[in-house]
Amino acid sequence: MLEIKDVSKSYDGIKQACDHVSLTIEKGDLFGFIGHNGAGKTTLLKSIAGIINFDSGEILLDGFSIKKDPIEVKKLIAYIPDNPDIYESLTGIQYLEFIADVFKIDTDQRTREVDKYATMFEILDVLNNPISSYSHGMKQKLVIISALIHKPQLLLLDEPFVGLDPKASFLLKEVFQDMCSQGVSIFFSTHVLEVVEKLCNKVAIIKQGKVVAHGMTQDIIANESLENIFMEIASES
Amino acid sequence: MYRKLTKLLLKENFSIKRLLGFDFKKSKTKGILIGLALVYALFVFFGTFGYMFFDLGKFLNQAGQEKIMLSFLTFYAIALSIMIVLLRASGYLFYYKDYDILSPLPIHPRTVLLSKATVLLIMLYVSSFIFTLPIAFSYFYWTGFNVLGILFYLIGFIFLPLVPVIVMSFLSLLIAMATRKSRYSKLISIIILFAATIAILAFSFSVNDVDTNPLTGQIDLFSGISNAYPPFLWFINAIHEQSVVDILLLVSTHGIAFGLFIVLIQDLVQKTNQKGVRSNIRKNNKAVKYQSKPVMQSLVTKEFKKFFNSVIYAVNSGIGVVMLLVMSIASLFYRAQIEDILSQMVGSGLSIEILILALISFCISMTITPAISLSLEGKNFWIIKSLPIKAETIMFSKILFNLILCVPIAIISIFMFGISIGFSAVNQLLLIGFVIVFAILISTFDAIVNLYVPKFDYVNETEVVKQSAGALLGIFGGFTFIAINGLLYYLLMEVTTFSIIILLMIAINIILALPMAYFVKTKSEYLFNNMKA
Repeated sequence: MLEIKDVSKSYDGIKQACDHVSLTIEKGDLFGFIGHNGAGKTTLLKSIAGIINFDSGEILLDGFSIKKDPIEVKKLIAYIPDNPDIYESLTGIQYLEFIADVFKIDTDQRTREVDKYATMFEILDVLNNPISSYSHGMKQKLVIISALIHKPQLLLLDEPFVGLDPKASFLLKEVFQDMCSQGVSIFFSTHVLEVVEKLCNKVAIIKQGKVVAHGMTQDIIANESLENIFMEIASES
Repeated sequence: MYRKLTKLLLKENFSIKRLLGFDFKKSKTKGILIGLALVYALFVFFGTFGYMFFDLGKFLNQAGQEKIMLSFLTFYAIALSIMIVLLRASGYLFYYKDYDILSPLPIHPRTVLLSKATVLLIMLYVSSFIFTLPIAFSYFYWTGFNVLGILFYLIGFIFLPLVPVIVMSFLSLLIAMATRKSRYSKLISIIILFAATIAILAFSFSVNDVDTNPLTGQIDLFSGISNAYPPFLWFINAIHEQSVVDILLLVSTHGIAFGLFIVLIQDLVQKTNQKGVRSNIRKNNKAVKYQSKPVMQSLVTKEFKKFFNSVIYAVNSGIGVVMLLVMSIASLFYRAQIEDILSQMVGSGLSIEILILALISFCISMTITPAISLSLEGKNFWIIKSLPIKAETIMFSKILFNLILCVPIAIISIFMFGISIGFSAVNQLLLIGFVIVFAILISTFDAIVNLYVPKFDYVNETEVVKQSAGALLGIFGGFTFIAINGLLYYLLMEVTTFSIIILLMIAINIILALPMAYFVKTKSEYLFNNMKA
C-alpha cells in the first residue's frame, strides 16, 4: 500500500537526513520506526506526509505519488507531529470542525466520531475551551482525535506517546490495533522500544539516514530483546 | 551574567536572520531585494515626514522659534514609547514566554528582569530614534550642529522615556490582569490599543491654524505641553541651551525612578510570571455543536479567529480600516477639517473625490494581512501542509479574508463621505469600483510577497507583523501602486474627465491584478513545497 522507494533527502547538501530509504507498508501493518535522535525518522515521516520535499526517490500510496498527486495522497493519510503545535486561537471543537470541513465529513459522521474519541480521551467537556488553555497532553489528544475522525487509510505518527497519560497511551494502543484489524496501516516513530516489541508486526531501524534493519518484528528480534538489537546496531560504526 | 543574558535575548529578538526570516548568506538575491526595499522605505519616510520637519524647521528658524522643534521631538518620542510599552511591557516583563526556561536557572531574578527591561528599552530607543531622527536633524541643521547639544540630546533621549515607560508598564500590566481571565481579553486589548492609536493620531493632526504645512497647526499645542510637563522642558533646555542643570535633573530623576522601579517590581514580576498567562481551564458543559462548512469558508473563519486573537496583528493590520471608518464618520460632523487634513496629506488643488480616493487607497494599502498571514502560520504550518488543501486555495482564502476586512468598510466610507461632502451617485459608484479592484490588486500582491518571503521561525508575532520583510514589502508595495495610480491621474487630469480617468485606473489595476492572481494560482504549490515546515 505505502511504497517508499529509494528516498533521499539532505537539508544542507552535505549530510543525508534520509539516505536511499526503501520500505513497504502493507494494509493492516502496524509498523514501528526506531532510531536515535537525528537519525532521520521525522524527515521520512514528513516526506511521506508531503510536508517537506525529498531530493530523490518516490513515495507512493495506493499508487498515488506524493510528489505528483499530493492532494490524493493527503486525502488518505493523517499525520501527527511530535509536538502538537495547533491553532491556539481556536477552541478544540473549532479545530476539529476545521479538519472535518477539509475532509468534507458530513455532520452525522463528525458528530459520531468526535463524540466517540473525545469521550474516550476525556476531553469532551473542554472542547469549547480555547486550545491556548490546554495542557500539552490535551493538545496531543486533540491532534490524535483530528487524525482519527476522517478515517484515514494510513496513519503517520511521530512519537505519539510523548505527553500522553498512561490511560491515554493504553487507549491509543487499543485504537491502533482496532484500526489495523480494519485494514488501516500505521507507521509511527518512537523511542519506546517496548511498545514496538509488543505492538508492532513490523519494525525498521534507521541510523544516520539509512535503514539498517527492517522486517517482521519477530524475525528482527529473534531470541533477543529489541533493546539489545538496537544497542548493537547503534554501537556499530 | 547580565551581559551574557542580555546578549542572548538581543540575539534571540533582533538577529538579522530573525528579522529577515532567512539567511542573507544563503539567499543573496532575496537580501539585495529586501535591501532595495529598505532603501526605498527610508527614501519615502525621509522624503515625506523628513521634508515636512525640515520645512517646519526653516519656518521656525525664521521666527526664532527653533526650540519648538524639540517639543515635537519630545512629543513623538514619548508617544511612541507609550505605544510600544503599552503593547509590549506585559509580554516582556510580567508574562514572558521563556519564564519556564529562565526561572530554574541559577540567575538572580533581578538580573533577568534587568535584561528583559534592557531589551524592551533597546527596541523602544531604536524605533523612536529612527522615527524622530528627521526632527532632530532639522533642529540641528537650523540651529547648528554643536557637540554638547548633540551629546545632551543623546543622553536625554535615553532617560526621557523612562518615566512614561514606568507608567505604561503598570498600565499594560493592569490591562493584562483585567482581561486575561476574560474570553474576550484579546478583543478588549485590541479596542484599547485602537482607541489609543486613534487618540494619538487625532492629537497629531489636531489643526488649530491651517497652513501649507500641517505641523504648523500644532505649534501652540506642543509648546503648551512642554510647559505642563517639567521633564519636557528639562530635555528641551538641556539641548537648546546646553544646560547642565537640566540634563542632570532629567538624568537623576528619571534614572532614580527607573532604578526604584526595577527594584520594587521584582516581586511583582515573579508573582505574575509564576501565575502565568494560562487561564485556569474550566469544564464547559455546554453541548458541542457541529456545523459543516465549505473549505474556503472554514479557512476564512480560521483567518478571522487568528486576526482577532492576536493583538499586535489586529492593531497593525487593522489600523488602516479603523482609521478610515473613524474619519468617514467624523466627516459627517467635521467636513471642513477633514478636507483640510486630506489636502495637506495629499496636496491641495485636487478634487475632493480624488483626495478621498487617495485616503481610502492609503488605508487599504495598510491592510496587509496576506503579506504576513502565511508567515503567521508559524509552527502550525505543518497542519495546512499535511491536509488535502491546494496551496492556491489557502492563498486565495487569505486574499479573500483581506478583502472582507477592507472592502465593506471602504464602501461604507465612500457612502459616508458621499453624504458629508456631497458627491454624485455616479462618482460614488466609480469610487466603489476603484476601491474593489485596488483592494484585489493589493491583496494579491501581498500574497505573492508572503509566498516569496515567508518567516515561520519567530519567537513572537511582532517579528512578523512589524519587522518582517513581508510586512515591509507589503506596505511599501501598496504605496507604489498608489503612486502608479496617482501618476496616471496626474498625467490625465488635464486631458479628460474625472469619470474617464477613474475608469482607466480601474482598467489598469485589473490589468495589473490578473497576472498576479494567475501567478498565485499557478505558483503557490511549487513555492509551498519549497518552504520549510
